[in-house]
Amino acid sequence: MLYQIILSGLTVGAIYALIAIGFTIVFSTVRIVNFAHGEFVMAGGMIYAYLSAVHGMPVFPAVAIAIGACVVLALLVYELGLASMDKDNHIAQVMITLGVGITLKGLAQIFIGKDTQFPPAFSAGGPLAVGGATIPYQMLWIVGALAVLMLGLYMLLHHTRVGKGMMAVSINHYAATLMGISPRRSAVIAFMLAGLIGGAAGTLLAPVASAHYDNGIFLGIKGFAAAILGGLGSPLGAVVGGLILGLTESVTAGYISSVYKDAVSLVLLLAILLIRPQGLIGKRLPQKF
Amino acid sequence: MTLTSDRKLTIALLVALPVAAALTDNAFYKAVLVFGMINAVAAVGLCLMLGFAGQISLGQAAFYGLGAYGTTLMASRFGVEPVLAIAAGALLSMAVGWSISRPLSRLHDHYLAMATLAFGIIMFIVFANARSLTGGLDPGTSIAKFSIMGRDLSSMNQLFWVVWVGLVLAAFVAGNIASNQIGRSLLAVKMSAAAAASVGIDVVRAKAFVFAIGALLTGLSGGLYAYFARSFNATSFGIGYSIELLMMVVLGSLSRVSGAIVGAFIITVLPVVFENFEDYKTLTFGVTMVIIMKYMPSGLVDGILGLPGRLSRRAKA
Amino acid sequence: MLAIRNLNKRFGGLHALRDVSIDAPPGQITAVIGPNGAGKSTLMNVISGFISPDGGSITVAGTPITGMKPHEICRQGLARTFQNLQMFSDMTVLETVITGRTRHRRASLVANLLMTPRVWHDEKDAAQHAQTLLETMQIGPSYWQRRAGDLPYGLQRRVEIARALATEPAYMLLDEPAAGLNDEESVALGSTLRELAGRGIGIVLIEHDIELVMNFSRHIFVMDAGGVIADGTPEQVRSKPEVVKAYLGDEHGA
Repeated sequence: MLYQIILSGLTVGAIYALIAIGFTIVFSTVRIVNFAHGEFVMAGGMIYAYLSAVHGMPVFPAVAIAIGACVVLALLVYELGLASMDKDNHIAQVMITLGVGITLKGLAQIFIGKDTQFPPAFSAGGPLAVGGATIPYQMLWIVGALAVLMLGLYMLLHHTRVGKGMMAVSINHYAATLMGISPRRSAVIAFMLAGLIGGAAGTLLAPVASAHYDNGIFLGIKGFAAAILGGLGSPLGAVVGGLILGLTESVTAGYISSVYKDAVSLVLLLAILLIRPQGLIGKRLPQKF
Repeated sequence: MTLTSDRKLTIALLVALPVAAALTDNAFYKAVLVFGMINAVAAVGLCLMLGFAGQISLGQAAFYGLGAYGTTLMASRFGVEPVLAIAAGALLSMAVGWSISRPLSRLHDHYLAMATLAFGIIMFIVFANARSLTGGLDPGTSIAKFSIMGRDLSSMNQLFWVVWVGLVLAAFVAGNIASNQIGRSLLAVKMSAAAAASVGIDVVRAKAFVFAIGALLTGLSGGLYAYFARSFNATSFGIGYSIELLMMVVLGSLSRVSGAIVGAFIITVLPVVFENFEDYKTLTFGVTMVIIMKYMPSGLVDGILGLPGRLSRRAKA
Repeated sequence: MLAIRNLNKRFGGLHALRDVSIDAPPGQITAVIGPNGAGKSTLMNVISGFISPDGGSITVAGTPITGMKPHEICRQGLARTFQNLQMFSDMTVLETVITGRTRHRRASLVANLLMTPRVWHDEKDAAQHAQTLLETMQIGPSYWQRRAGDLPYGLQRRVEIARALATEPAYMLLDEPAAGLNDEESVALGSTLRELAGRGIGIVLIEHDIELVMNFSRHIFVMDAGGVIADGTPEQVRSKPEVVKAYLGDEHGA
């Protein structure tokens, strides 16, 4: 029982980690919390489901197109909604990303539908028995994707010019500008990465948890909880935060109440925001005044 | 000191409402008017929080729910007089708003929005699952007809006046705040917390106050809704309603009590005017919110009328 | 007397304030000068409660205010302005200054919510008081209904001083009030400050404009690297070699 709980906690945690990475990348380069981020995840799952159910498209082309669509969506979100936004008007920023998210939700509702979608798993075959527990094959895809994406992200940030530029922008926006690094270009890439990883998370999650147009904000807030748990701004922290959150939910659902597992993770989010807003492993930020 | 233009417009709206009600015999239209006024009470509360004090809340539905359930519990379980039950529901909501405001007062904009969103979702989960108190999603809960001292006042005509009085009270208090030192303190906190503190304004207390008053008005709105709907379930208190309230304020005005009332009526009436609006509601709201916040950040009505906005750019630190 | 004793503040490895002691008597202009990074702004923020000191004490007319929050310090009669303007940008000029009166408003919360006649009366009083202060700061009635954030820079500085005056302070901390002013405006500001000091207000002036400081202050404290390196009358300070080296040298060299 405990074994099973830990295994499923870690796999759910891997999904939260993928969502959290998107928050983290965008926050470090653009300094905003993107309230539309959860909708990228929703869109990934919905588009994948739509392509495979309605058009009978095979799994991998459908997944690839869904993820590609999310990258394009993320790019549009940035260019149309956020690029020319007033940097000091934080309330407008919150409302614009929120509005963009609601727009994406509305589009999914109209073009794909209100029904819950169950797209196929990435590979056929029954659940895998590991020790005393069983896990669906899809869970292996999820954990594998997290590992591959993390590795790719690490290579990008540390071994390419583009990635190093983004790191520079996140550390010191102004100095980076002086050195000829374009914050705008970094922001575009950050959003595309968020779309890519978020969309991928959506396609990975949909076969095990279904896809629904209304799920984005829930997925988003879970991902944000994971990101803040690990200290917003650090991709590794996002992974740690995601896994902790997944385990917490799974233990709550297993031993306390499955109804309140979402509430427990949100209470955890509030507690972290109020007690340690720099996250469990983040450095303390200087107080603002 | 003379009345501000906001005050005059508010009074005009409050006078126009009974006139509009008198002009129609159609019970459905009357119900729309009543529901619009109920929403307006909540929108006025959010207008004070967001427009004046710059405290963004994405969890207002929680206060609406606290008001509605608080009222219902008082009336149904303890047989409390309806007016007192509504007051108790509003006070319950206020108490919760006040107590969460202290810890939240440390959070700025993005984090505050996320924290209030989380609070709203947590409360929704509680409303949906604490079935012994709320009836959850199914079967929900119901409340007896509205009455005062045993005199039944539950017809739509009578309810209209009950809710109207509620809106007049809300608009009176909010309008007072807008035109005196409390409102200026709230604006000061929004525009520069440091400068506000430097002239002796207790920033934490100001934020606690605005959360309390915002929750009070939204809770009052919830209590009125309970008597309007008579039978309802937790779906009325989800994120969707928090977003709708935000839309009302954004559409109307972020700084004018009258604007919030206008915004509330626009959002209430849209589904009535446009058939199939429900299908396109989400998309319309999303696109509208983005466009308004990008091009008219003081609110749509204010933007169109060219009124100066209060949703300030923060003074650079 | 505004008495500052042995203030210390560290930020990590940086010793931003080391044993700073300053006396600012009422009815006088006391200046604090020093090169950039000398710790003047930290000193301001510590005195006004925005940063808490690691050690030392601050008293206003004998009342210790160390550790109090900014709004409590204001209520002890100590007001301030900000180096980077902190305007209530979207208020009118008049509203901005009326807001400065907040600590003197006596009507209860309930009275305010109900807008009793007394509150109406108070509003009128506050507006009149604010108008007087605006006149003192030479801001004419044509500006009163303008959006505060739209005013020229120099006027915004004066509105900030008027707002601080509205709290009826015994002492005022002015953080570079002449920054961005031309010579003429700067001299006008100096005379205004002298007039305010004449009313009994103790003014602590942190300033880069050396002319303003030399011409208008009674006593000058010179800071460098977090500590006070010299103090005295303008004439005394002007002739001290360590001051020339630390401050004037730096200023002219820069």
